[in-house]
Amino acid sequence: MGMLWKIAARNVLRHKRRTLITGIVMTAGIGMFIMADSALSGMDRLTIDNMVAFTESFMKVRTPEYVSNLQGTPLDHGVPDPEGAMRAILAADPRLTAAAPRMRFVAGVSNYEDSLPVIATAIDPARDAGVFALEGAVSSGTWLEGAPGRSVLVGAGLAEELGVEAGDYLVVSANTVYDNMNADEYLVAGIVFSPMPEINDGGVFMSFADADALLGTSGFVSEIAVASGRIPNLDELLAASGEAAARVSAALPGLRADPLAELARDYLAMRAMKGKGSYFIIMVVLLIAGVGIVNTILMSVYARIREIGVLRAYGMSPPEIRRLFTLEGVIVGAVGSAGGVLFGSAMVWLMAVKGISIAAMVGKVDMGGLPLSGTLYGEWNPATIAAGFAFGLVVSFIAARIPAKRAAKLEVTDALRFV
Amino acid sequence: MAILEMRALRKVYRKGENEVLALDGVDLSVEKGELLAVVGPSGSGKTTLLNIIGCLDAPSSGSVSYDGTDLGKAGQKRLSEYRRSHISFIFQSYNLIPVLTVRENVELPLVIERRLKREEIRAKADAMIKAVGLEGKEGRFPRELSGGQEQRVAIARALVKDPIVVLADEPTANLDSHTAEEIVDLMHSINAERNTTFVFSTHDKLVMQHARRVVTIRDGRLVSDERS
Repeated sequence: MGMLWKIAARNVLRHKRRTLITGIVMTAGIGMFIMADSALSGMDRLTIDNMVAFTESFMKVRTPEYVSNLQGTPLDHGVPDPEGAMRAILAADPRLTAAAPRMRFVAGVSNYEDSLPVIATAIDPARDAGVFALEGAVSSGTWLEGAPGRSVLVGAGLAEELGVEAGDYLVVSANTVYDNMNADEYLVAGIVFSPMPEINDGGVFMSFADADALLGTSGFVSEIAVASGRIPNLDELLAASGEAAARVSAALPGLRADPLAELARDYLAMRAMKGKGSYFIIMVVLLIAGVGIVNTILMSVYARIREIGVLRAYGMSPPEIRRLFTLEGVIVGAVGSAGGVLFGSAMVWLMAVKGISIAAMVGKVDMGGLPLSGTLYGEWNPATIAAGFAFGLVVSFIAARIPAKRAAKLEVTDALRFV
Repeated sequence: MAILEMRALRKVYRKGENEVLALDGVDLSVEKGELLAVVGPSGSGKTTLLNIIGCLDAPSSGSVSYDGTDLGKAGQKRLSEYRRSHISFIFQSYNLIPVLTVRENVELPLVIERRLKREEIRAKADAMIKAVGLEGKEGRFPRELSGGQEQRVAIARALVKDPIVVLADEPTANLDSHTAEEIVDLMHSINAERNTTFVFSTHDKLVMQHARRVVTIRDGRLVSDERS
């Protein structure tokens, strides 16, 4: 076997250009795969982080009846005793750091000329800042906590559409609990520009006091949003959210705690599809590399038919000849795969340390409604790196077997006659 | 004592519907230590005869036995195994493995044979390299050698496993007359010193002059067998 290794390795080095071209194709393919996977994971992380920070939080606690009628954003089936519920939630799991009540309701906003339907949200400004990052997203004006009564925050896109700025007034109308319409004039205290398109294009936030006055509610809370400490790995974050939700559900009979996996269900389903897409890409790239390896080894077989004849004449068996050429292909594949791992890891390191500004990369384009803005950081995924290397080896092994079999089938007398 | 016995050897090749009779009832005995030249025009059956002697091909009928071992009806696997241990080749274009050094090329048959230990292989190879006058060139690659030196390496490679017979196919055809003479002298002296059996296929008069026996083949039949 030592001699086979020696012949195979030296032949790989002897045909430098051939080896280099195939190796570069594999390096590029596997490197791109590792990089793409890291970027996609980074996008997932950024997207989920934005969802957690602006709309979904780590976990939401609601009544089952409210959840079953979620699309209608009803003003009944709220969380009973929200203060007690928040204390119980925070006591249920040490990972939970803050809780804040919210109420969502259907409203209309008008600039006195045009009216637009929105889903408005009532918040407790002091507590909300402990769970969500909305306060930091106020791009002009002030946060609700320091604002005068009857103030709202408006999403930047909605404000632009209505032609209002911080300091202007608009009218908010909504159906009350008494099933009649009420409307009032509100000061636009601040404009919110966040990574969430739904907030920018249709976000209206007001305090619970203002919402109660508008809707006739009295301390009605449709949901309690809960925050946790930072968990670096996305899968661990989802798992921790699931565990915490199970504990909270067990601790609060009559309420249901929905984990992040449930709150971001649609996005996570799309993420799984994206994962399949990236594997499809690597399959195509490795198929190209595989054709390169078949070609490299086939050329090697044709260039060395006499050599095969000599080895066979001296008693080397067809399986050994097959092994020799397979070995050559696998060496090329291993070099290409190792190069791919190094190249891909270097790119992931760059992305993880420096990050990529989404705005600098694609400008202010619509990301299909995805909350994808900010700085994208690459995610390390050892399983992907190992899979890329293994894929490279397996593809090169399979690709090399085809010409290797052909070499082993050559008749000794024909091989020796070959010029 | 005959180390190689061939009786009523026939070889028929089929090309589509046609049959080509390459060997037609050849009887030949080769004694240990003989230096035998097989001569004949192109298409006479010379190469077929050498292929059968070299266990590279099997006869259609007849018997072939080496040192009492009958291989007339042996399959490819058995022929390959026998070849691995007992038969060596010297080719017209040397056919050294270009990525192996002189020493590694000489070691190759023993490595393939897998009978000896690493140190024994090294010792035998070095002794053989010395015997063919290439001491000091063990680490060189074939591209760093002259044609004559390459053929010396090929001779060392052929002899290193102490084969029953060495088959040499036009061993001087690619060499200039001076180098050819050196190579023929070398094989002649090895034959004398080691009693190694050589079977040549050749058109070279020099080789025929050095051969102790010249067998002429024409149309698949032996037409003369002259001993000097």
